[in-house]
Amino acid sequence: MRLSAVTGRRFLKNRLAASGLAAVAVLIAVSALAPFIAPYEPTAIDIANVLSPPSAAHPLGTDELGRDVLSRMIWGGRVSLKVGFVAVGIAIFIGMLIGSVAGFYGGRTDAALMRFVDIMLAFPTFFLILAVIAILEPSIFTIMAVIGVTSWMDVARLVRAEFLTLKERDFVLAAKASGAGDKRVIFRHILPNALSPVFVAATFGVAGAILVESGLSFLGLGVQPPNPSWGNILTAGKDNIEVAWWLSLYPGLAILITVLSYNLVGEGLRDALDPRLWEAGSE
Amino acid sequence: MALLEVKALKKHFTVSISPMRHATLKAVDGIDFSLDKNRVFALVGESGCGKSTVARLLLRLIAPTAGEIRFRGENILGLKGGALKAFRKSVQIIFQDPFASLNPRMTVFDALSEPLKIHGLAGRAELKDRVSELLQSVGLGDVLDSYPHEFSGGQRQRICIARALAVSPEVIVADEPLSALDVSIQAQILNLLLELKERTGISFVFISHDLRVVEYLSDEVAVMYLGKIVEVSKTEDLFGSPLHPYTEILLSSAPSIKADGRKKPELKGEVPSPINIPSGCPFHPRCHRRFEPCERVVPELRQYKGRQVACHLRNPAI
Repeated sequence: MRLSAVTGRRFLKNRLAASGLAAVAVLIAVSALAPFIAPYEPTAIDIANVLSPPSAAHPLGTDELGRDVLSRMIWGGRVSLKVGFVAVGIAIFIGMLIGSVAGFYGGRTDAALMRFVDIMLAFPTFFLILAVIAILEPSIFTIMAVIGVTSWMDVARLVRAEFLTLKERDFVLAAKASGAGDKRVIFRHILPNALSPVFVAATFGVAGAILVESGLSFLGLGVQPPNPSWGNILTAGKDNIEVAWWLSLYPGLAILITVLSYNLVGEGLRDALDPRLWEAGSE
Repeated sequence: MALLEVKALKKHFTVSISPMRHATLKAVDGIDFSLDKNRVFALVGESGCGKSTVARLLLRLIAPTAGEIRFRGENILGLKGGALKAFRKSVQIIFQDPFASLNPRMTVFDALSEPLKIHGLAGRAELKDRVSELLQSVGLGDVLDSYPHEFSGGQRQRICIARALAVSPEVIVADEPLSALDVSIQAQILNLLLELKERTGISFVFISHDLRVVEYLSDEVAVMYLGKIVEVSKTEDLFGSPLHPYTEILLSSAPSIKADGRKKPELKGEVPSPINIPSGCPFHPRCHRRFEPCERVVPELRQYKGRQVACHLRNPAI
């Protein structure tokens, strides 16, 4: 049986992780089907129903322009997931590239790249992002790119550490002795065995990126109104907190549940992939 | 001409003791030997004497500090590109730990077809047949799609041997191929290696600390101590009449079922650290026959009655 099947079984045995995965699956499905399941247009203004509380027509109420909060949240979830996945994708690409090169070639290349990582880590990320967004046009693409290029350092360190141990392993030496070139050794032998911690970091990374995006949108530096995002719905909620609690509660809950679910999945993955926790009885 | 020839081979590592202090670890410190066709050359010694480093050097997996390794007369250290690839096809390795020497994410088929693909030894259509043949030659059935974690240690070692055989090498360096296995499995793998030697004429550099296995398998034996060879003899000579006191002790300390009642010399203490090698003869602090020059003068490996030994006892000039 494949190792991945073993890991999958161990993952699903962990109830918290499994429910996290279920929540993530629902969120992804809802976001993918947004155009079909959202009851209203997310930007449709209805002046007659401004700040109306949750009702049958508007299950989560309406905002200060009479827009349906449920529809805006469904579309906002789309933004969050997009930012999460694309930003993490960028971070993983950069991190794996730099980590593999540093770990595989070692020596001065390694020292130089790792000092660069240290420099990047020394910046307070959120303020760096704020500064960059202040210069560039705030848009969903800028956010994705900026989060991506400021959050690859952990991945680089993890991949480098894996490469350092794996490149001395006997099966890698055997591949070299069989005449395998650097490319084959890296892509066929080392990288596939270095991916476990990257998966875990990626899952946590998605949660982090969603939080950063919400924060930026809340501050008005992220997704620009009238386009919905959980962060900018919260901004409207803050202005009307005394009269419209639903504007703050629901997007806040959505962010909480999403981030929590990704973190649970991440922790479950980490445990399922950790060979030290593999008991003799379970496999 | 010898198939494989090693001359004055050295490998020194720099180890850091503290951030500012470095020391030199002399893992291999000037060894010479040669291997002829269809022979088994054994390298024995306690752990930490540099045996495994020699294996990695012979395969050119690490670069030596000094010295030469000649394969069919050509120094392998200068090989590049196609010539290096040809050398990789001629010399293969089997490692000690069969659990670490197979990629956990590759099936048996992937692992065994890889060398065939790299060297262009089989077309797409023949790959499967070739791999099945290889598995058969090491006594395994149709396990093409299984992953390494599904096998026992002995089965994995068979897969590793099959991988080494895939390129039809002339030399296999076996780095303690039995020591991680159960005794009953050791015998099976040992017989497999012998059978391969008879059938294919492959030469072996057999690295081991198990003298019984060495006596059974090898034609010639070199005894290593702290990075140096202290004695080289034909197997029957070495086991019949060891020349070096260290060899003598190794032989007498090998477990044996027969009790002959004679008092045997025992090995005192631990192997000294290769960072801090004793003066003179590196073996003198543990030697039961040391005398005056031993702690001052380093004994050279020299001819003695058609054999080679590095010991002042066997030097008529002293």
